[in-house]
Amino acid sequence: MINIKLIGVTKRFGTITAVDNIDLNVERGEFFTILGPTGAGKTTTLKLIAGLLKPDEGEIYFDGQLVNDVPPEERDIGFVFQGYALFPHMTVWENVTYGPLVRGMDPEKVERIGREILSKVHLLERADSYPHELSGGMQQRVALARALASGSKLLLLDEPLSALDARLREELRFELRNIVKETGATAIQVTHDKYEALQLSDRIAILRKGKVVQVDTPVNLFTKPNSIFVANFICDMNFFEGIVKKVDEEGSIIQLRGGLLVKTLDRTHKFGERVVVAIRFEDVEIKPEEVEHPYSIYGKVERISFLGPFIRIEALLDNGEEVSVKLPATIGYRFELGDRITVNFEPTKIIVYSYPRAGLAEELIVE
Amino acid sequence: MQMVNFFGKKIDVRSFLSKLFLTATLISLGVFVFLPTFYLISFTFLGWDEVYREVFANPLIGDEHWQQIKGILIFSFRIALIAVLIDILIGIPLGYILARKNFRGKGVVEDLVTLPLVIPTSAFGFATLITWTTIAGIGGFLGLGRGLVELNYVVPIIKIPFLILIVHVTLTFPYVVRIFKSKLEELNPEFEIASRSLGASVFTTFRSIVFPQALPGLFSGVVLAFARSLGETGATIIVAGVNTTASIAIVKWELEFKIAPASFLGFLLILIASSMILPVEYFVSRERSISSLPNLTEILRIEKYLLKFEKTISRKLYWVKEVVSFIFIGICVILPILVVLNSVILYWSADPYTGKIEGGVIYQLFGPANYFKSLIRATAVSLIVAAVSTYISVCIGIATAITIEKYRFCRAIRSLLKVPLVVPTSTLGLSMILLWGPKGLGLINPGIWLIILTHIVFSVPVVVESALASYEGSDVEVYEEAARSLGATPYDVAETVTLPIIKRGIFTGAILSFTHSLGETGATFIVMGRDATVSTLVVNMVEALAIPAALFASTYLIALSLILLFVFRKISK
Repeated sequence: MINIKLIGVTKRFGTITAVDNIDLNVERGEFFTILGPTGAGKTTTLKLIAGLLKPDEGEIYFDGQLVNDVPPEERDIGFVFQGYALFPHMTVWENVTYGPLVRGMDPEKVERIGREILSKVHLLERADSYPHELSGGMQQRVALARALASGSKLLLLDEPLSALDARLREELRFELRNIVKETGATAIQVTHDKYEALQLSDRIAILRKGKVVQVDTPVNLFTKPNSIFVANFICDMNFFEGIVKKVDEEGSIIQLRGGLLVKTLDRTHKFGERVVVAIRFEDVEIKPEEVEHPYSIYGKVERISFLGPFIRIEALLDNGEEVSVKLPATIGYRFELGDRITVNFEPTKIIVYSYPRAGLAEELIVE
Repeated sequence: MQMVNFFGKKIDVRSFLSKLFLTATLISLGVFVFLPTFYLISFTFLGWDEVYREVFANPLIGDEHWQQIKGILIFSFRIALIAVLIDILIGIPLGYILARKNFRGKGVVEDLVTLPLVIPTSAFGFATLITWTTIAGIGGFLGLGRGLVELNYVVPIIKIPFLILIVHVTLTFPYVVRIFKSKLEELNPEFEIASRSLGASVFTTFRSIVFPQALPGLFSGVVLAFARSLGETGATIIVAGVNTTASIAIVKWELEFKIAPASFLGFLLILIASSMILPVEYFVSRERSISSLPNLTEILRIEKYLLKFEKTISRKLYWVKEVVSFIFIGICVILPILVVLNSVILYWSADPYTGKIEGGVIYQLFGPANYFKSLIRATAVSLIVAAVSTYISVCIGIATAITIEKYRFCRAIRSLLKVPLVVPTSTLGLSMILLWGPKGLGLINPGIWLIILTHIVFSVPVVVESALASYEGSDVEVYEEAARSLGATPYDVAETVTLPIIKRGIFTGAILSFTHSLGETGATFIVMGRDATVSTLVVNMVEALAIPAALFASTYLIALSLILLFVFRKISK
């Protein structure tokens, strides 16, 4: 169990800065996730921690020890690759015991470790199989076993579940977390799948264009996203541009396009400021008829998507903007295409952000 | 589509055409490629009585020929074996550097590795000769006043003539490097990262992860290098001095009309070459069989010490592989070429040491010997031969490549086509002359036509192999299916989809066979009659001791192959 610290780490490839002045602190025994869209610098960060890349600037500490110049084979890490990288010319047993062997452990100890770790992932009886003879899920478990076999205190996982199909992926999430937690290793995972990150992690760092945007627990990230980017990336949210019309002790009133007014509890923005109003799909109140109310907004149902237990309704508001609403299927079935509706934004559920310098559309790009 | 034939029977035109295509392809392959390759075998069997009498029971000299053949074969094998061992030592690090490292000037290094494959061997042999044994080479450079080594200097312990060894290593190491490198490039670098993250040093990773997986590539490279060394004629004949290798013996005996021992030796060489290449082809196609090889270091119980040792050299001696590789390329590839260029300039108007104009390049070219005229004539012959044989080979090659891809039962052809590549060229020449020449079918006399036919034999496999490589490398089948689904006939598909996609591979093959044809010496020597090519002319000049003329011709050939290399590089990128 070790703690990992990155201070001001920067990595450039030619003119591109893949990782830009990152600070991270991963606690002992923590299951930490680096989450971000493609090209955010997640895998580069992981490779920097593993020692497969050298930072151009900044320091990396393992338990207070500077490891910048330590080669990967001496960092005592376990690395699980996206495609597993199981050695095709070796059996499961040879793959799993490779780490202990090349680290020069005694044969008896290697034997014991191999048995222990393979029974932990329930693959002892497949020890003599070759990787290509195993299913995807089994290969994933072998990869995990191999990374854990040398008793590393730090486990690095590069999209460990992405090569599996959706159903298996969900099943294996908890198994992955349990096995890792049992060994007590510190784990750092990289993924672009937010559900995976939210379910598995103790804490999550959100990366965007090589910079850390927010580091927090899954619950905090979900309830208090600190920026439009995080809000959009983690939660399903509606965003509307607006201008603060009035600020008082209770909160503020914000005017959206088409003169629509929204009441919020936010008092951090000044009168006349350009802002963005954000509200989750599931927090939008919707009624299947036009109801008079000071802050009501009217619209028309444009599209209905059935998502199993939920129904998502996309409506065109009268001011020309679109809003998405997520409802339990039991309520959602009442709506039909073309219905006139009333939408209400509950003031406690609204988050207000300052208008981003690069424009709203730019902040909403997640690729 | 249906049609009525002469007898009033209905036949399907499409299947008739495809059968016609298949038959035509197989027949032309058989006649132009396989028949000459294997003819020597049947010739030896059919004329066994005479062969036996000449080789084993000659009334005058008894089994003297057999003794000679034995000695020559053992000598050739020793050379090939040592050369290949050195190839492996140089080829593995060099292949690894080229596959995994990025550095300034990598393209140049790759070209230098390809150069020995396209350079005419006789010119290269001559360049090596003057570099090592004359005052114009290293010796003069070091101020010795003579060559660095004697022509017949024998390396102690391994007892192999130094010059032959160095020529063979230089001409064969590209096979090992190129094939090993392309195998490494196929290998996912993630395996290496995984191994290092598990605690293995760079060297341990190479030994236990990279090497076992790249072994098939190394194997095929080694076999080609071995066969090439066995069959090398052009350069060897120039640097051999008093020694005789198998391929030189065949040329010599053929010129002395000792057909029986020559054909028996050729027969043995073909048998050896095919028995080497076919099992390896089989072995390499079943890649996983390699993993069943036992782990030597564990058996010997040295694994632990090895790990420590590897860790130390990973940290301290990582630069050795770069330095050794580059020094080798510098001395064996670049230096001879520079020496030849330098000498041509020195000898341009007169011999720089005696001052006689008879020893100058100009005098020899335009003086009474008039080598310039023969050079021009030889160039014409070389170019015509290269162009015609390449053209015919491309036609047969395309048809063969398509046949191999379309008909399952034709897959074996691919392995069989490796045989002409490894049969020593002088043996091939002998086979050609016995088959087509006055002593065989009597259809073609030695001369330009027989040269063309000979060059087709080894050019077709080259074209087929590179066409197939680009076919398999680009998922052509998906596009073909798409075209068929859009309503294209098989012929349309071949013309509008398949050929344009594999065009590049065919071009590469064509350039390779063109350069090969230009530089070929061993077979050409036997079948050329009076139509000398440039590369054989160099041998003749050296034997006539017209050194300045040989210098000029070598420079000229090297320049030509450099231009072709440049074209080759432009196309293959």
